[in-house]
Amino acid sequence: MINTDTIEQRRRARRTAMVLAIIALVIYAGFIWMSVHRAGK
Amino acid sequence: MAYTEHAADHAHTDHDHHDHPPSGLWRWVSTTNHKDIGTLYLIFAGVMFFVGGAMAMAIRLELFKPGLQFFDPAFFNSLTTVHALAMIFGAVMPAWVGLANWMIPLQIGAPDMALPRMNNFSFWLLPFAFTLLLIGFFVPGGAPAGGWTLYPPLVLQGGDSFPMAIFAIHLMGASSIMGAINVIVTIMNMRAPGMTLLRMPLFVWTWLITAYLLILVMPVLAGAVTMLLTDHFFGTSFFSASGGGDPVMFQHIFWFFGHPEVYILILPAFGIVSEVIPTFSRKPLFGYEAMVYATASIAFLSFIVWAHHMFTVGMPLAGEMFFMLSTMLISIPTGVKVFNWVSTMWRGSLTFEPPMLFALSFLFLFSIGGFSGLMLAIAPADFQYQDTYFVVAHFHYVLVPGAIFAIMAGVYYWLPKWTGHMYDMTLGKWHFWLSTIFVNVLFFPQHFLGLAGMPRRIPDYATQFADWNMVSSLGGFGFGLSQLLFPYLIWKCIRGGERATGQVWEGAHGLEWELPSPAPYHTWQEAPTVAQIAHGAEH
Repeated sequence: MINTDTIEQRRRARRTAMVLAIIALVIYAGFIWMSVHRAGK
Repeated sequence: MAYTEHAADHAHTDHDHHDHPPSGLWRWVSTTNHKDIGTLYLIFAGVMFFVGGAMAMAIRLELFKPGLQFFDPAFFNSLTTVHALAMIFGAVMPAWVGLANWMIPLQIGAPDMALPRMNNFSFWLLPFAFTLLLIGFFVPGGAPAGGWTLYPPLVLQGGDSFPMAIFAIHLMGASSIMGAINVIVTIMNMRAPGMTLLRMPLFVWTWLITAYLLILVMPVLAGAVTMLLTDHFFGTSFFSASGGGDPVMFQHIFWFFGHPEVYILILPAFGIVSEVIPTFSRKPLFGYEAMVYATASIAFLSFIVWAHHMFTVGMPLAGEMFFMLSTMLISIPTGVKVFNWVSTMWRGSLTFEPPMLFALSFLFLFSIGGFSGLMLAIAPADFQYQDTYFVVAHFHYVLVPGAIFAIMAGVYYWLPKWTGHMYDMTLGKWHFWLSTIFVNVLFFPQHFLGLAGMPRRIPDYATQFADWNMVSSLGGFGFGLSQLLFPYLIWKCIRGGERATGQVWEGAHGLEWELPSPAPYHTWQEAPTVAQIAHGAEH
């Protein structure tokens, strides 16, 4: 039996997952970006 | 025996409908079931534990006596490097993710992880990553040999395996981030009604905090190794002084990842010990909320201590003072935990089954690792200890009788729930005693070697270090061989044995113990009742 609440929970979970993935990508790119600027000094 | 019959066997038998997993190899390739994926992670971790362990045996064999015995120095350096990478990223981290996959949905009353297909993908990246890493031994130039810290410029002088190792690290990083995202969204979105945050078992809490650490620091490692790759192949000079870069910057970036990584390896261990000690003390956990806040404090502090790994590179005095004092601060929340575990046992009705024995061993031996950590935190003293065997002794005390013993405690604790059978208690106790005795014979003498000045990562040494190296190697062989009991015991338990009840252990409380043993293939498709949660949440 599929719980409809679970479907709603999973939908919210996908949205949170997208936000967390974006945070991870920003940290990845941010550290490289900071290093580009520091290495140029 | 502490395990008893319990009425919980009657709970939730309605899960048994359609409870037949698909069969054959394809089941394991395509599975999205959290229990299957947890099992895959645990098997993978076990295999890597023995692969990394075989390298450790080879290292101790070479160091059994002075002089070069078996390996050339370059191969020895590859062994130390790949041993570390295999144990950290291949054994301990996947073991934690495996335990998280198996237990978090059961403990919070969720039918599965929130993102099951991503769960499958994050596991199946790992075999490819470690194949790439390990076949480095067979390409020109040999496997990476610059140490697991991958410091440039040394690491840039590697052979053909260098880009393979970088790609492998990217893959394991992606796998870890996806695993962490899954844990967070599962805990934040899939808890059963009534399972409030402060009712969650400590294992779930510690994993939630660990998952946030993973998301915040794994991209930092990925960024660092991407820059190593571009320095090597695309003419950038991030870490090359000749091009305007700075090799020390790599160390800062690496340890900004590396220190929280240490807590990623140990925080779930705190969770397991916080589950096991109350069960076998037959008392609620002392100071539940303090444990949660202490875990969060340790996680926060892990971001502001990284440069204690690099006191000797040269930094302003104020920097050394800051990193020394911030590192020492960690002993406060850690002390809260240790005192709470001891207080939980105080006047408890203690029994000593294998999970409790491993948890107690963790308590004593992890504390030894903590104390040597405090010694290393003292900047002027660290100038003496830096790059000696004292450091090797310290982090092995934290990671072997720390993280690995806690994993063993967790497996011994939940194995009857997974298999439906009790295991051979006598064999489990043999495994415990042999492991505990030999792990001390293996690592304690390394404190003496370090204090006497023996450097780490060398295949040969002065004769003054011979005696303790021989003792350490004998301990290493004993520890390695005694680990063979573990897969044998698990195999025996899977094959059969006394039927386990739902509650398994007399003092166990928690939603996972409300289910029958073995846990059905599909669980909590109907959310547990608040009464069940309240029963399980007796902290």
